[in-house]
Amino acid sequence: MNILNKSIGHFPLGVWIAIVALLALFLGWGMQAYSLLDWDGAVDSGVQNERFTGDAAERAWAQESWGVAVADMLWPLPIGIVALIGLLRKRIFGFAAGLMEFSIGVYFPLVFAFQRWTTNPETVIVAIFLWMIPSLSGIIGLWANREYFEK
Amino acid sequence: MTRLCLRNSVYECACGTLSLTQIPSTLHKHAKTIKQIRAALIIYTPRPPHICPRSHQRPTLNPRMPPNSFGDGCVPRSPIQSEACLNIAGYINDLCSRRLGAHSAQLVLSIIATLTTTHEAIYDPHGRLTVSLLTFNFIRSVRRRKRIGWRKNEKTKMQAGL
Repeated sequence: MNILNKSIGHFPLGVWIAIVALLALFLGWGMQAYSLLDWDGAVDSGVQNERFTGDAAERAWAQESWGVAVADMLWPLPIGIVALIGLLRKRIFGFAAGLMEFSIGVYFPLVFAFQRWTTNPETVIVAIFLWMIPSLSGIIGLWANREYFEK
Repeated sequence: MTRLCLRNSVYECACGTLSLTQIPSTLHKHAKTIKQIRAALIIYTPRPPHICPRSHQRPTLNPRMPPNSFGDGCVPRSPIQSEACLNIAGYINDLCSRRLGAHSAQLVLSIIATLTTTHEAIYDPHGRLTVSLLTFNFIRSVRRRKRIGWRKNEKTKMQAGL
């Protein structure tokens, strides 16, 4: 028996890991939501990197980041909510939505790393440790417990 | 800065407004443009830096950039890529101005900026959508194969008279 299948409280360890990883991703979507509400505040607190008041290039980046933040509210955030509800209710849709969410959690720090390593390396490192590694752990945790959701 | 741009191709230099080589499939289409931009980076060789009197400003690296209100060639501090991007924009502006006129050059620049920024804003969310749908498809196919496999076993068992 895999250690990830070992029950701790209501869920196996792997599912707990997935739930924690989901919460970490919610932190990211929360940052994006905050950015949309108060962009300058988000730049001041380091959540975003570019202002709408900078030079032409900085403004273009700010527009791009704003577009991505809106898209995050439309697709990854709802999937995350579905995943959390499904995992807590031990349903197969939670397993599927969880893996979909974690695939996004692996994808976007990678894109960010290739895109901005030379200009914002500290943000890239934060994204890797805060979202990519937990998402990978979440994928492993859920996959190890796939039979758990088939019952 | 020039070394950074050449190493990372147009992608790093493009900084949103002029990101012409986002994905490999478009790379060959813009090969000519890349050559032009690389040529531009050589043309716009940075001047030897000098110290700016104001801490929030730094020397411009583009000799053709208009001087600021103080006339000392200093520009506001911004990410290093912004300067590279303005160099490219300056080059395209010059190129188009010579052939089409100043107004048309500005129009070309604004069209490029709009298209590429829109492309960039679509490209990243599109990637998120794609990976999540691919994952969903993977889960569905695994479950389907499992079901088919199970049915096959049932059929085999029935055929064997078990």
